[in-house]
Amino acid sequence: MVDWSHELAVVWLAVLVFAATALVTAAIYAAVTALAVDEGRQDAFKRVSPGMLPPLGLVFGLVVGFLAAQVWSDADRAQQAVHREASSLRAVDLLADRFPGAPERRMHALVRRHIEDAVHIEWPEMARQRATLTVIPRPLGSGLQLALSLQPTNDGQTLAQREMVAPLENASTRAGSGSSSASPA
Amino acid sequence: MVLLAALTLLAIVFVHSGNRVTAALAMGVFAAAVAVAIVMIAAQDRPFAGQLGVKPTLLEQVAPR
Repeated sequence: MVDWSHELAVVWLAVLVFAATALVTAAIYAAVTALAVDEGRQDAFKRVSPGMLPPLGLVFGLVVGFLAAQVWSDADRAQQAVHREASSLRAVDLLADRFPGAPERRMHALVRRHIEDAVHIEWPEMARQRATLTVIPRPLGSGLQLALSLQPTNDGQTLAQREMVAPLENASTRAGSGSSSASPA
Repeated sequence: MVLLAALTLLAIVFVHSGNRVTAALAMGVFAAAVAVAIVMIAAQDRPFAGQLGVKPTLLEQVAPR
């Protein structure tokens, strides 16, 4: 499907697809009807066995089933990736409170910056399927460096530092999810 | 998928070529089913785009204030 069709509301997408399908159907009907004017051809058409319709319908149904399973699986994985990222960022946000002062403020600023970038830059790119995993989001990279450079002064901070690293590593997996397009057309 | 649908439509119109009304009805019903299947898949083809796509609302909710 072309890029702009993915931005349409479902109702307009349905109108577009139904119109296109009707056009193709009418074209096939008109072509066969025009060809059937000749008696020889009409006789040949009539001799096509109705028994070929069920296998064709079955194969079509299988293709639809496989495509739908792929598409829904992608959507599900994308939803899970966003949940996981939100959960990771919330964990980092809460754990950063264990390092009051400048580290806490800097970590909050980096998380905020990462979310702003995700919403305004990464999301439109993912919608067009142009996002890649080759570049680590800069705020996340800086957050990871900051977490590793912290100097814990008690057991609580040591634990918080350790627990902050894993969520920051996991937070950047969203762009890779849901990247296989079924493109039925 | 579209090619297979077109082939099936062709087969339907061949099989029912003796009666134009029947052919039109059968093709219409099958074409409607095809359109529903295409809409169903196309609406969620890109997980982060479109009306049914995943939105960044959850991330915005966890942004530090």
